[in-house]
Amino acid sequence: MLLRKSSVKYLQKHKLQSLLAVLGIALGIAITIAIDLSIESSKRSFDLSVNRITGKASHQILSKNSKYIDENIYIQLKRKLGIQRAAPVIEAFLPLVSDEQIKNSDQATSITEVSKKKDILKLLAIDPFAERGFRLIKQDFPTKTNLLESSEFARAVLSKTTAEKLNIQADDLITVRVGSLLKQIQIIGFITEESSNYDSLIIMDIADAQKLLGLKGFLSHIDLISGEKDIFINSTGTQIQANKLLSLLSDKNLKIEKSEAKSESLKQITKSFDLNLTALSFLALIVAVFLIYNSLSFSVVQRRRLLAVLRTLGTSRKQIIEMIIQEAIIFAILGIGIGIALGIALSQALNALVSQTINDIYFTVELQENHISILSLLKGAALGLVASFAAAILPAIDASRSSPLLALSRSSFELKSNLNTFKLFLTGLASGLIGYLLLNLNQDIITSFAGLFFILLGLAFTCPQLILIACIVLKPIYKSLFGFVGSLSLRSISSQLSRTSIAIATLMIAISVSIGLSITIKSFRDTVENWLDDSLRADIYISSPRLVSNKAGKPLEKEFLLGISDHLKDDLKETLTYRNLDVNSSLGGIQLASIKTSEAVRSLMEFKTSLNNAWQGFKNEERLLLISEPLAYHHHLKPGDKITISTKKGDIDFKVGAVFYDYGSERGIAMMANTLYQDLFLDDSISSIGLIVKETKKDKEAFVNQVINKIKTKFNDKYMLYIRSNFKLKSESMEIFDRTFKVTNVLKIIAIIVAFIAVLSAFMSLQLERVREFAVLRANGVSPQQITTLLTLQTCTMGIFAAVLAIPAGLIQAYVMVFIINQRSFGWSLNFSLENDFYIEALIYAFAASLLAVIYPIYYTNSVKITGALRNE
Amino acid sequence: MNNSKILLAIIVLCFTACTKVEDKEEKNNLLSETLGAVESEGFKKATKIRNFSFPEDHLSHPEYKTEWWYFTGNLLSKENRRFGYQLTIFRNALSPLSTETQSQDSNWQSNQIYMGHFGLTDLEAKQFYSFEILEREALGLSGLEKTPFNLYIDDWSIKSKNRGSYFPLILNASRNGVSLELELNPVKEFTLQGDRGLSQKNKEEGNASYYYSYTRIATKGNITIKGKSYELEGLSWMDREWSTSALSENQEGWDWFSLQLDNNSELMFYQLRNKDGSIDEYSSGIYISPEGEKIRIARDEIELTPLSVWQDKYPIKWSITIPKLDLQLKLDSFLKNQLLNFSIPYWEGCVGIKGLFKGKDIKGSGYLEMTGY
Repeated sequence: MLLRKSSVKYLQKHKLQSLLAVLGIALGIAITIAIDLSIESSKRSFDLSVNRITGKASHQILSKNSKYIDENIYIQLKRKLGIQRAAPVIEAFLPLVSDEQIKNSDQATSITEVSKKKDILKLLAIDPFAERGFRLIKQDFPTKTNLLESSEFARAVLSKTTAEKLNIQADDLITVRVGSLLKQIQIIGFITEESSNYDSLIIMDIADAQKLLGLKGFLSHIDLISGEKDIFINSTGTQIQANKLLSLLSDKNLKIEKSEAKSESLKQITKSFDLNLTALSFLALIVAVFLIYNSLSFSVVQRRRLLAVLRTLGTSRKQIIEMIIQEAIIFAILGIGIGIALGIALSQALNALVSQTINDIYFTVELQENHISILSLLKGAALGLVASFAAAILPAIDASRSSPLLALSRSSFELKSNLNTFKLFLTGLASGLIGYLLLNLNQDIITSFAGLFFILLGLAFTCPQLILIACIVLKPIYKSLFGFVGSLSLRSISSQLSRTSIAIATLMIAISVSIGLSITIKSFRDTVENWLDDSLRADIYISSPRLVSNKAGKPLEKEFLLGISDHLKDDLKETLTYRNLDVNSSLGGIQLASIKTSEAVRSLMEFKTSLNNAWQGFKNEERLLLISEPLAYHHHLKPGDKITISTKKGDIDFKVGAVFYDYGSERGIAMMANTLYQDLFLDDSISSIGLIVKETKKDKEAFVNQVINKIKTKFNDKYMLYIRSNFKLKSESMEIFDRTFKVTNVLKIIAIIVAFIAVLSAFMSLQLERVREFAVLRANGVSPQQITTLLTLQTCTMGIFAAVLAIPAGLIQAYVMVFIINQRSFGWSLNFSLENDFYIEALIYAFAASLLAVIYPIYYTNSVKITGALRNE
Repeated sequence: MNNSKILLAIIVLCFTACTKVEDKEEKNNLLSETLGAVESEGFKKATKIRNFSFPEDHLSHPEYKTEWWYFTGNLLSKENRRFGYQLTIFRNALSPLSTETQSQDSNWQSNQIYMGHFGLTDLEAKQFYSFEILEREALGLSGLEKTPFNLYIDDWSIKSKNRGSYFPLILNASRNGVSLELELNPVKEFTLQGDRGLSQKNKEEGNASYYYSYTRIATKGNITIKGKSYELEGLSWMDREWSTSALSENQEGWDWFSLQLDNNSELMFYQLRNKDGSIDEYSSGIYISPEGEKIRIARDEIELTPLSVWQDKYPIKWSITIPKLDLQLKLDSFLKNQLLNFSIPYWEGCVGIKGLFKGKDIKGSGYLEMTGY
């Protein structure tokens, strides 16, 4: 009873501190939950866009390395193997083109413009006769016509909600963009399913889809329904195990996946983005743990004297521990409640950003799902409880253990704490070492993150010792600069180290996260920018707009290519051609590009390593490939290694001639001389071209624009082209880059705000507690100005300590992200970009937080009556 | 046989509004939901007597909207186990044959749809199996090869054993471990139904089909059910019919009989039922005597009386009397449930026959088809 009263009374008296403790926990939980929820939502959106059309299929047969499979596989399944529960599927995204866009083709050609539009239809092409048992989608045909009849236009059934939104009636023609062409689709019916899962869905017969997309002979995949235990039973009753099925088919580049696995593989394309977010959520977690620890341990440490009094009055250790834990639980519950609410609110704001980014990068249907995953909430709550418990229990045990009399004087604890700093320092070093070892243990991303965690933890542990040393070193300087107030301010930091060091470590971690992220993004950005500068040497680039990022676009129309060289023969110095496609190789499916072997092309590539005379050999059609860094990294290839590529003329061995830097593709790419490619693949189509204009006396940019206009006037009516000038392409690429990292930047700012509040609460609590101390000083003749100076000086010093410690911590984080985690995920070499801005930024954050934190304590200390304050204590 | 099956096929393919999805989930959605409707304008119609010419007329007639190759039979295993089978492949055109050739841009483009129905009755086990498949005529999913004759859909086929002649035919079908492999050799020549092969279904011109039958075909082969094989012999019946339109709006369905009697004679009769409950005057049939004489039987020359019904609708016992032939027959289905529960359900099953012909006992077996119930 006495204990409860004491507890309640303490909390009443320290309302502000209690509030700050709850807020600290709440913020820690909020940030973890918010990021977690956003990631979950984005993944769910992805799942939804996949699952809604998988229907009841248990398995899918897909190509190992390309987007499509040969349609004859389906025939073999049905006729040769007698597997009847099979359905062919073609999937694609079809961007709708509005009448305005058709008129204003300038707009329609820009991929960034189109990707901003939400009207992208998801095509599901099927064979209606094979659909039995797979998908049951209610449809209505007001037109009294059917999907199979051949007609001038592709015929389709469109989601009713989408049709209503876009005001599309039965029999209407809609225009979609396919490669470089605009195509029309006749809407003959509507999907009448209620569920929003069918939004944006458009269903077509396979024949029309192949015609529309230029995919004669190909399917996206084949859906299958197996019996129990993944066994397929064919029409004569023979059982075929799922993993044996492929060996019975003629194509050896197939894979069979369970339907759930398919959405997994689709999720892969968001890998880089996912990694980005995972890193953030991980860093947020660290900040949160520190925040919670800081808030709670503080409320215990603060009460050591009171607890000692209780001990002298006969309270048992167990009772004290129980009381503190009860309190911590109350704080934690309040904090969790507020944290969850805040986290959800924050996640809704983040969601929009996250899904926009996914849409930008991956060009998929935007499905904004504000999904609140219970798991994420539980994760946040569990984090809050565990961290709160851990934060309270250690100081509680500590307080309950010390002898009552000794505990009455704080200095005994501080003395003990001083003794412990060295041990902590050693623990920190050990933790750092564990982290270092983990980083070098294997190539796993999770292990890398764990390594980073231990390093950061280690850094936090070393804080108290470093702070102590700094206080000793700075003492003479402070004394000479600020007199006795100066040395007193340092002393108040070192004498209350158990409190100050946690606050400093929290701020340090938060600032280091912000520095780490800034450097990582900057390094990434600078590298990409440099690379763009080097590799974008042509003046004008023309290609078909791509539907899916990182996938080969459709070839440019032949007549267009002929037309353009004829039309521009007086303006051009050189035309670079480029053809890319997916091919089978000894490495599995890889992206192959055939390029012209002119000097202009050579100058685009910077070799990381190469054989002697690699370019010469490449030019002379020796069987050499130039491969990009990510490809080399993922397959452990170096110049001289062998790659076998399946060509139209059989499997042919190539040697790696050189590894070049490339940031355009995560998967990596292999280059082949175009003459060799045409010979081996019997394919002379071109995916994109780069035009180098003739030297001119006029302004170059104006001339380039003039040529672009010439192209547009001549060809834009007929073709859907993606025409960019060098300048525009560069700025557009950077725009996309920046947008990709927008979420990261926003989260960085959130991390800083949280750190701000954290430090505010920590410092404020710290100073509020010293009201009596200040009263004593005042009673001894210290002026209010001096108290103000003391408070400001102490807080700012702590801020500076945090900032200074945050710099190496941030650098280490950035180093790990840039050179280890990024390398392991993508295989890109990035240049480490260090700019002084970051340190100044860090100092500013620390200063601003410190100054803000000190305002209220100054006001409070100076406004209380000395006698009152003395008596109160 | 009859217009009947025309209706069946047309209804299946043209089914526009989804009626009862409910638990029958997979059955009805398919065609109605994904296909939509088919116009019948532009097709040829059976309006006048035609000169049948073989083997050409065994092949398909894409200028007509629909046609079928219809096989039914009663078989007996060495162990005296009795089976009935039905294997039919229907062809349906989505649009009249045009001059346009195969699409350059997709191998899936086709205006011909094939549908296969496979029914098997295992009388001893009292089991009835039925399967339906549909495929477009593309990519070898379904189609017809001329020499040797090979009509196929997925892994089911009806094909000539030899290059030079239509018969013997080999029938192959299997689904879910139920399979059939039969060899067919006709005992009697074909019979042109109706007026020299033009089978008028009602008074409207063009509501007719071209129709011929092989009424007695010696059959041997194997049936396998869930791993157990039976060697069989027996008799089959084959119907060939093509048309564009047949039934009128007030006709509701039909009862069709193909009966093989043990005195080497056969009887075919179809009775068209009108929506008002009356029997249509265009109902008709033919009797083929042991000597091969063909006697047409008109509506008013036959008495058909249902004796008992199954599920309150399907008459599975009949009495048939044809005074001018002095023939009285009683039909009893060997198994009550021989319902093909497809998009449009119909009852088609093997029946046993007992009766009197010119005062003497006569026996036989055959097939009964009932639609529109």
